[in-house]
Amino acid sequence: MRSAQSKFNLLPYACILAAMFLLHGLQAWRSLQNKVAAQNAATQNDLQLKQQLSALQASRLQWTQRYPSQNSVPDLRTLLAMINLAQHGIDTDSDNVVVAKLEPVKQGELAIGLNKICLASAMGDGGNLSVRAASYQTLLNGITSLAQRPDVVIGYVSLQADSQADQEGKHALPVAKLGDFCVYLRQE
Amino acid sequence: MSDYRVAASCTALEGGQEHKLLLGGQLVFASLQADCKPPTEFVALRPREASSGLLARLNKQRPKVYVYHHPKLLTMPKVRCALLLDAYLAWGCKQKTCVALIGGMARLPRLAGEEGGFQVDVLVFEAGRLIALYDQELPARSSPRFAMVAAAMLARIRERYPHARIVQAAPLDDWQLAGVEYLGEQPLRGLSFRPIRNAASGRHHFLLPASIVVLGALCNFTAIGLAFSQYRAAVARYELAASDPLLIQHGKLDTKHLNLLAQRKDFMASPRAQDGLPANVQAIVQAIALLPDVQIIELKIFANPATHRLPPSGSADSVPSAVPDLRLRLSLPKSSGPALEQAHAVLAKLAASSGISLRLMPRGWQEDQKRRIFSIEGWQHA
Repeated sequence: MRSAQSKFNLLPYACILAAMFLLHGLQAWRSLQNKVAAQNAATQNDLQLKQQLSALQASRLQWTQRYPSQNSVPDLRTLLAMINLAQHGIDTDSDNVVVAKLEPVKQGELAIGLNKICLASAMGDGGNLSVRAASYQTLLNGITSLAQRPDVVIGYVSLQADSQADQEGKHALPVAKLGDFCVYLRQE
Repeated sequence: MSDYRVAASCTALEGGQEHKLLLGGQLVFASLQADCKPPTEFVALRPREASSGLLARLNKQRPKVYVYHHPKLLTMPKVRCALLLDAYLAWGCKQKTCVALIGGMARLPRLAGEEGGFQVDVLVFEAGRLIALYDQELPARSSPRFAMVAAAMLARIRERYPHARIVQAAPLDDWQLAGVEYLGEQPLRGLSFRPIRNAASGRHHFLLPASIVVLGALCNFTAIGLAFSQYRAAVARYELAASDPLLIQHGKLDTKHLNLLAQRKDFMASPRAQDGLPANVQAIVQAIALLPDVQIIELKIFANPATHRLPPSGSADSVPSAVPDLRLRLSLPKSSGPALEQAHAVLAKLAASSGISLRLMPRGWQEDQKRRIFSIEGWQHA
């Protein structure tokens, strides 16, 4: 029954207003939820990266321990001191050692922040470093232990008999030539 | 008969157990004119709209019925009332043609023993608008004057509104007047009984719409509040994750840097060419030492990557790669047989004891009177 008593029916207007409120609320809800989702995604991303970082922590430490920093080796003398051939029982003519090559190291197209410094003896063909030891056994042992160092690179080992000394009957010091003898240094 | 009582006068109000009253007769005064004064002390009610429809709503000059009710009703707040006039108005405004409605109630008799007369309301509607409203007293049916007065009433209606269809409604009984259709209780359908006080003030009209609006606003603000608190929580979580000392110590955190760290890890883990060098040196030197009276003229051992290595010695069709793993020049005392034979024997011995595949280099031997010099290449097996 149509109410004859009502002067002005507020109900439809009230419903419209309520509907506007609801719509606005829904819109606000949606946009805020989007923001929440974006924030959560950023947090998730951060957590993921953190996880990866902590997984690589151990290797970071290994990196700094394995390769000495370039800054700690400002010149050739300190470099030779750092290599410390003496601890391996071998020796080189330090006055005649020169830097043959200096290049950055790449792992799969990416420079990893490592420099390779190659040394050679000034005399000779320039591609190798001459080292000597008291005896062949010491020489070989020294080269072996040198080759096992992670920061040292050796391309080839060449042993040559000093034929002249042999003929003269003199006892010459055993000499080996280490080809492509290089050291890794960290760039930072 | 429904559960309400028809009340036409003050005396009718008293007594009775019903809580619903249908008001009319002398308890209600209605007029189409605003300046028509009601009897003294009558209380004004909200004016009723006397037309229906959307167009009428927009029309500012809607006819209104000004309604007043007897003051005694104010003393009866618990009673729920409905106005007979409202029912007739509602019915009449739905009619599309010209209709004259004869309605009203019976009055209680003044003196005991007599029959009461009728308080008759006549409402004339044209196309859903009320165009006339007046009331008239009729005597009781038993009175001889009844027929005359009724006929006069009808004649008056017919004279003024010749096109009108005349109908009679409850609570009047069917008088069986000529040319009058009796509708009975049809106009009285859908009566709503409300306490009289509320009808005057009409405050309850605001309650439902207001509550709907408040509900809507509440939902709105609740939604905003909830979502915002969720957002704050998400931001707090982010802050917590970002404030990890590991990150702060490390500084920047991006996939490029992590990539770099991963590549460094790979670099450190990858096998190196010179890993096999010491073993090769040992092997060949020991093997040579087994040969009698041998002199090494030159021994050159390369740190070749594992890819250059030969497959295990089982396969016959292995082709050595260009760079051998070692080159050797040995000086041996000349044996009795030919050089190649001696070379073959020496190589076999060396290979057996060192595990390295050896081969004489092309034109790889020289000899003088006492000694032979062999140039040998060797490949390590994978």
